[in-house]
Amino acid sequence: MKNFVLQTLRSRRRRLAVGGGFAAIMACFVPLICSLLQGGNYYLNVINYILVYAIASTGLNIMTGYSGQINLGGAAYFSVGAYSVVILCNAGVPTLLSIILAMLIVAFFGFLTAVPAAKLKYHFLALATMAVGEIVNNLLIVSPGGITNDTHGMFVKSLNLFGFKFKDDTSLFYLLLLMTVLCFLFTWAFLNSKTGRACKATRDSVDAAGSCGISVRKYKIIATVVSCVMIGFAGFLFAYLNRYISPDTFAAGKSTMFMSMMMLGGSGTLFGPFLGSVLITLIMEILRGIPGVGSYMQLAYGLILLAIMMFLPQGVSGFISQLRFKRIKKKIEQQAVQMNSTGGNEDA
Amino acid sequence: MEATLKLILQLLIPGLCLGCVYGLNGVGAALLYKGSHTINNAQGAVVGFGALLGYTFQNAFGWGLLPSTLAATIVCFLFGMFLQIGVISQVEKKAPIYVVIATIALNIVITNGNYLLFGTYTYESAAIWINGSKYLHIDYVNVDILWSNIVAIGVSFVAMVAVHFFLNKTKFGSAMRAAAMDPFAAESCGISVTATRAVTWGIMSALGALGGCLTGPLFGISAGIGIACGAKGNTGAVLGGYGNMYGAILGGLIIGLVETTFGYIYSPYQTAFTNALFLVFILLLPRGITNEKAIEEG
Repeated sequence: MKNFVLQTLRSRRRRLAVGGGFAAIMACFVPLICSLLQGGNYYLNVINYILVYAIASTGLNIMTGYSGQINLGGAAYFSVGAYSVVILCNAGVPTLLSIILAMLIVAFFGFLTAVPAAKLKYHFLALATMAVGEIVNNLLIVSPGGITNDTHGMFVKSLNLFGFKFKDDTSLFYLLLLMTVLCFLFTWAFLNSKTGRACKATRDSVDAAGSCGISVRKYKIIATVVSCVMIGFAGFLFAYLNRYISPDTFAAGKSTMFMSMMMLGGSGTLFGPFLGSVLITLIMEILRGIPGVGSYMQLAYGLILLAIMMFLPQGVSGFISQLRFKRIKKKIEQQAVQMNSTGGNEDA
Repeated sequence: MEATLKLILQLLIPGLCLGCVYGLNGVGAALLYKGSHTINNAQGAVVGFGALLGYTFQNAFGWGLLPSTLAATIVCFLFGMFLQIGVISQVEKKAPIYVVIATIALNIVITNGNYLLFGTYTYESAAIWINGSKYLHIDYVNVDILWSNIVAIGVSFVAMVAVHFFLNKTKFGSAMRAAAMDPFAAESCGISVTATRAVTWGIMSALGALGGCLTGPLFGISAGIGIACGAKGNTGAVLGGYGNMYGAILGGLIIGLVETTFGYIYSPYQTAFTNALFLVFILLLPRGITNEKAIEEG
């Protein structure tokens, strides 16, 4: 038995799977722990937001971290996902069908922006995605036919899936946890598939990937569409968590937030965005709680973002792996010194 | 006939004025892209900072319009140099994404710093009076044009010509152009690329602040005044062919005119329309008016 456990833990991939599964099972007890704490509902609520943002920034990570295309219009896809599910549901379409339809809308929308954008250079892609974000936000504020209820926003009824109503934070938490795990598994499978490897190759070098016979344009578009759908999915979950959506909740600041979550955790790593969304949400919540600091929250947020860019460019997970790399290097050097002192004299 | 001419003038002059301010920001963006192949998303916040500084000098210190505008411009020049040396040069070496996000972070920090320093009010800056009147009256079509508009257009053109002469006729300007062409070669000739980049940021911020001060009498001054200006500067620069200074001026003018005209026709979609125009240009005509090959990949 002990042997079996050790063998299972030996490979990194298995270790990740076991660790992740263990963490997910432990996470199932979070509502119980929260209910024991005073004001536990608040903690659970914050955790729910963390999970939604984790899905969104993981989606962004596919595009920016793994495919090398910057996206500063994340809020656009987020809002399209949220609004289309809510509008379809209000129109009387069954929930599951409306979710699927909404994801198709987001995918189409992502495709529309991806096809031309796949040929833009880095900075200009940033500008173009920002422009997309602005356009979508403008269309939400002054929507054609008033379908988004303009600046008044829309109140969202509680999510009704297969006759079960997700009314309180606890039931939503389990749904979000399941979705987060599924999204992680999907991302992991996607990245280890042929398509995912091709995306990573185009990130590392467009020319080298092209010379290996990878259609750079095609894989850039695929990565963009997948990432947009995941961000849109997070948007749908956000709508049912927040229970109220308005153009204000999807302003350009959200795009920056997803980006900063991804960068803080470490772009191009599987768990980086999750880590980032935990850290940023917690920091914001803690700052909000300190009296007198609340009004400086945006300033503090900007400073944190700036500090990440200046001192932690690889994000937290990059920093950790750097530490690990240094340790391994030290070990190898020590071994080399030992080898030199014992048996290294033969050459000399 | 007279009514049409009147309408055209009434749209043209504010449009040109707005376009000049966008053009000033566009020139900055073009210079920066030529100089260090980065874009600046913090320009809007610097515009707001400059405008608020100018207002403060004018009203709290009691300086005249000209000295306060000059002082704000100079302060922002130094501020831009500080940004480049203190922040951007630290980030620049790593990868382009860091500069993009660092400038967004700077935008957040400076905008909120503005709110903190100057409050969240929209200040009314006094209009410019010449010959005892706010307006220039044109008898022929019986139309009144704000002197503030005309002064803004004039000063912007003077500033653009000054930048042109600085780049082409002075030694440091030549050094800047050399550093923009090939930093390594320039450095080996004894040009300090650090200095040229810092001055590029300085010029960009100074132009932005000048634009902010000039629009003050027209739209009122608040910390958020520049947000549109910075983004539109980039838009104008794209329209004119990114990296080309003269194209950026032209692009800025076009954006200003189109925006005022479209705002007159149907204002709710003004933002969407300008951004859509930008997308059309960046995607279909990426080389812009002056056929500059900066944007496309591969």
